[in-house]
Amino acid sequence: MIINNVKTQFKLIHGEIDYKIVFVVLALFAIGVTNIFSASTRLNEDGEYFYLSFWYKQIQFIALSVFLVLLILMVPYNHLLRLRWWFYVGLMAMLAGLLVLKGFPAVTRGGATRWYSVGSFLFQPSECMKIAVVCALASHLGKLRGEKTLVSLVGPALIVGIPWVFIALEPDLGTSLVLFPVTLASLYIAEFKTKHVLWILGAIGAATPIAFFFILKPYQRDRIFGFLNPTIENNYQLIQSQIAVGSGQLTGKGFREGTQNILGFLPERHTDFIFSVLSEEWGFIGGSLTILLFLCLFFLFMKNLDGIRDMSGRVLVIGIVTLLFTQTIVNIGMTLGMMPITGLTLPFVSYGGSSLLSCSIGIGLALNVIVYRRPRERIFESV
Amino acid sequence: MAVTRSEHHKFDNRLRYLYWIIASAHVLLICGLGYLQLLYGGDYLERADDSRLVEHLLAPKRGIIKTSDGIVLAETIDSFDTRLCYYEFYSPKNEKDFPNTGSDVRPLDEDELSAIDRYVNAAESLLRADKQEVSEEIRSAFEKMHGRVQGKYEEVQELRILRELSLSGDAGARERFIATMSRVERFRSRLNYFEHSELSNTQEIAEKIFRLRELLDKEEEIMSLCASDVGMFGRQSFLFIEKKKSDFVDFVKNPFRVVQGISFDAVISIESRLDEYPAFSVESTYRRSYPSGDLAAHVIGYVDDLNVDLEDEGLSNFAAVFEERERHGFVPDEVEKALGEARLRKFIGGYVFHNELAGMTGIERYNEFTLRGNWGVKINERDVRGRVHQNYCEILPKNGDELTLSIQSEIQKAAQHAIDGRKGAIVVVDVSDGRILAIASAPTYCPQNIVEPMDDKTIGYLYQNDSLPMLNRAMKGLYPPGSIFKMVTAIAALEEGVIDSGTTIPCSGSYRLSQMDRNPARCAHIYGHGPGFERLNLEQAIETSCNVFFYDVSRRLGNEALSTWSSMFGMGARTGLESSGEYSGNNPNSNKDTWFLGDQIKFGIGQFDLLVTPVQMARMTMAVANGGNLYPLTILENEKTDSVDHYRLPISEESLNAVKRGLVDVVEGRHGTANRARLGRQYLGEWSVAGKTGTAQRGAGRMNLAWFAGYAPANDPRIAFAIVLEDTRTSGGEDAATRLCDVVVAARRALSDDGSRQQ
Repeated sequence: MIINNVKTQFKLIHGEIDYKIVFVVLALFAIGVTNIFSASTRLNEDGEYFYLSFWYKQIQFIALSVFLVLLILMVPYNHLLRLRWWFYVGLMAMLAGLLVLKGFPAVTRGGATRWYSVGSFLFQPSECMKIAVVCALASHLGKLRGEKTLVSLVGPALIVGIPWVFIALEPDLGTSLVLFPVTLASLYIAEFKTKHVLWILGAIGAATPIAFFFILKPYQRDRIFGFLNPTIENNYQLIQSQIAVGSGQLTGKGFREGTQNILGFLPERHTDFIFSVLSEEWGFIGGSLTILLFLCLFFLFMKNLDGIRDMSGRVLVIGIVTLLFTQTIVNIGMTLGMMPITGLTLPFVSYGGSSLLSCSIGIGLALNVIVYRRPRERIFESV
Repeated sequence: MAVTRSEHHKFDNRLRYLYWIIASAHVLLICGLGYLQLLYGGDYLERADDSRLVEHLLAPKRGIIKTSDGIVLAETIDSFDTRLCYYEFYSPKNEKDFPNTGSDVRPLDEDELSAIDRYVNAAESLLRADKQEVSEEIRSAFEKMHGRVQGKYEEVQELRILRELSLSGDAGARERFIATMSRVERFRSRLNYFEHSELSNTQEIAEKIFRLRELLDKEEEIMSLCASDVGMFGRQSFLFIEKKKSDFVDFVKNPFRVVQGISFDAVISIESRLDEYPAFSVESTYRRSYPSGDLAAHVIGYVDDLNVDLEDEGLSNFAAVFEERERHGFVPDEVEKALGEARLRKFIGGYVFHNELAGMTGIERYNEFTLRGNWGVKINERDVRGRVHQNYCEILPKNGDELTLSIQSEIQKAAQHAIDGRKGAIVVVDVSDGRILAIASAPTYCPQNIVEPMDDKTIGYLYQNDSLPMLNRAMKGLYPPGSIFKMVTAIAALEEGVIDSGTTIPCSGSYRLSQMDRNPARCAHIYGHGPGFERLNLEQAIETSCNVFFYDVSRRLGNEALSTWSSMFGMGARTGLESSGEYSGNNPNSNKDTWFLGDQIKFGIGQFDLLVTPVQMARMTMAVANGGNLYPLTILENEKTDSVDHYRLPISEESLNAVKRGLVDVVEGRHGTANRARLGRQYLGEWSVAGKTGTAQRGAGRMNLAWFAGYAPANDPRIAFAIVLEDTRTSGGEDAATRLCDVVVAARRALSDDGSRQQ
């Protein structure tokens, strides 16, 4: 067994881990808590401030996440990947359950059934499903031998396709869309022919208008219309978000001074629109630094790919990087009016247990690949 | 599984593409962020402020106007208005969405409109004690509001359609949209206004001009970009429509006035039932009141709604409004700073001029700045549900100052009574400093009728009346002075040396300019100043108002000397009451190209092109009475004239005394033109009057004017006066002079009281 004792294991992790990544992730957590604190300010009937406990709950989730990451780091990823089907199938069952168990314990909000209520929390299986899909994909692609033909696309298509259908049925447009870039990047990194990848891309492009008119719900269609033509009236969120971001200007209005935030003009401000709060209160400086921090995170992971010879490890890291990257771009782009409004959260920053836990599990797995990137014997030599 | 070296190379290549994709996506995000925050940050900040800040204007209390003996002529009283909020009429089914999107704000439908019945019934029971027929008042106000909401709603919808058309490539529609949206014209006319303003050399105005130029340049650039660039047009037109929409929402949410001036009891009963009738609200405002009826009505003027209805004109008349504001100094600098340029525009456009009162005529108008005071503003921050969160800024209003007029109410009353029932004017001034003691114009009116809702009868009397009751004849009536001008001619002749007090001239009843003159100028007595007056001297000429004597004198004087002396006595110039809106009249210019001898001799008896106002005549008489001091007239108590020498005319004592003797004879002499007016010593004792009558012609087909200008007491003048009556059937001596007795008596009483008080 690899697991010696916890102390040795920590020594090993300490020697192998890239602390820059840890630092960046912790910085993002800090940014998140700060802005959630600001965004949880509310006004009561008398016009006085009071604070909701989102920020405190977020700190609890962060503690839980850090614990989970450490736990994941204890076991090398190739061992962990053996458990992939348990997770995959379990989460699939939960996704399927959402369709059946409407009412209780599944929770429906805004016309979408995405959550299970667990005590006082809501658990969103699709958040974890994304990670499970990436794991299954990584493991599958790592084992593929020989020339990658069109036939070899069948496996990945099934791995991604089945949960995709269930997620799209919830409906959760954002999460289901995130799976596309993740799959494409994984296939690309797993040495599939560029031409095949482009074909898939083309097919998705061709399917978009069909999906748009036949599959999307009216409110989803409105959101996209609203994005394309902001005079449509359902774009309240977008307009308010743009006002919030724009009015921050260079230096921002200051911590807890954002008027769009405090006075409640900004909807969903501690979750989906946390970046609007951030850019309103910290301005262009704060906003662009946060974006650069995300960029650093992704680049650091990719830089560490150099030493990884194992295909499944590579695909795992790239899958997770793409996952986080897509979420980041779509979320920030949405607050700026560059993307249609979807329910995607900003990784590490937005409030939300499921989102935070799934992102942290992702980070844990990617770090795991980096920690255990060298052949086993050499690791033990160094310890 | 291990990866071979060549594969690893391939992997590196593919990874590089991913690097690029990720990096460029982040760069795009930062560009997007910069676009919103750095390029258009100011616009968005403005919009953020727009949605969170609500201004309430705090009205200043307009200053009171009173006479020098303390009678209040105009005052400001508290008043309560009932208001209705249109927004409250929406039925709840439409209000579930976001409250500020504007999507749920639209004209009321039939069902919702019928809810007004409930309010009308409530108002009838709540306000029954106060007013009759409230229901009609409410209904008409509500319908008017509904109409305006519909209009505004349609305007936004039309703009939206126009924008769609423009974006789909209709060049004409785009041009129209840009024309609607552009503020270039507005900025330009404002700039024009400032550049041609008399104050343009001051630092403050120069800065304003500079700022306006910048704004204009920016706006021109944006508009030309809009014309050429679809993206820019899309963006700007979107912002424009959003702004229109938010203005519309504000308009709908702003309560409008339905019943004015309700009692305090009604206020309480309404406030106590606000839960039941949430659309009602009560606002405390100020109202102008004129408690002294028609006393000095023309002088004080009246206030009325400033007639700049921007709601209807869609801000297009901005320059005019701005001008009006500059003239009156409506918004203090602190408020301007607190609001900022863009919000100030809204502030002026939407609120200050809406239901805003300003002086329209007289003291109310020309002392607007003193009386008005300055607006204050209270800016509240509200949250998304419209609840007030905190006071963002509060600037208290500065109440207007009190104005005391030099008018004495007793003399004023007598003066008004003297000309009551006629068309005409009377002015009484204090000869020692040019203060106006009484000034009246007839027919007159009650300013109170104007500030209150008018019935047809009042409207007919005020505005559809040939005798023009609104005209202040004392300051704006332009009349030929007729014979009272002979005072000037006489003094000019004596001073120029063309006659002396002993010179005599025969009067045959007419005056031939030459042997061949077949149409001689007539004297008042067509058979000549017959027995006893074969030759008249100056005193007799004044006493009998002999035209022939003055024709000859004028001929000897020449037009140049006449015109100079006339202007020395203030003809053709304002008397110092500029701030009350007087006219300057006309003094025939000696540089005139064609001076016929006939014109010249007519000028000498106050006809021809000479046009004067009654105040000018009072001032002229004052100068004669007080020994040649032509003080500027003042009507405000604190504007007393001090320096005496400056106003002294170069007239010798002897000339003045010669004329004054003539003026005494007019009243007391056997042949005096006013000897029947009972103003002489035997009637008024010490306060006997001296003066000159005049009967001026106003051209063919019009009845004559009766003038009387003089002073009292005759031997130690204290007051000077001029009275003019239009459409007289008789002469100045009979018509005008006879009416003066009560005025002089009142002046005597008031001034001796005044004197004893001062001691």
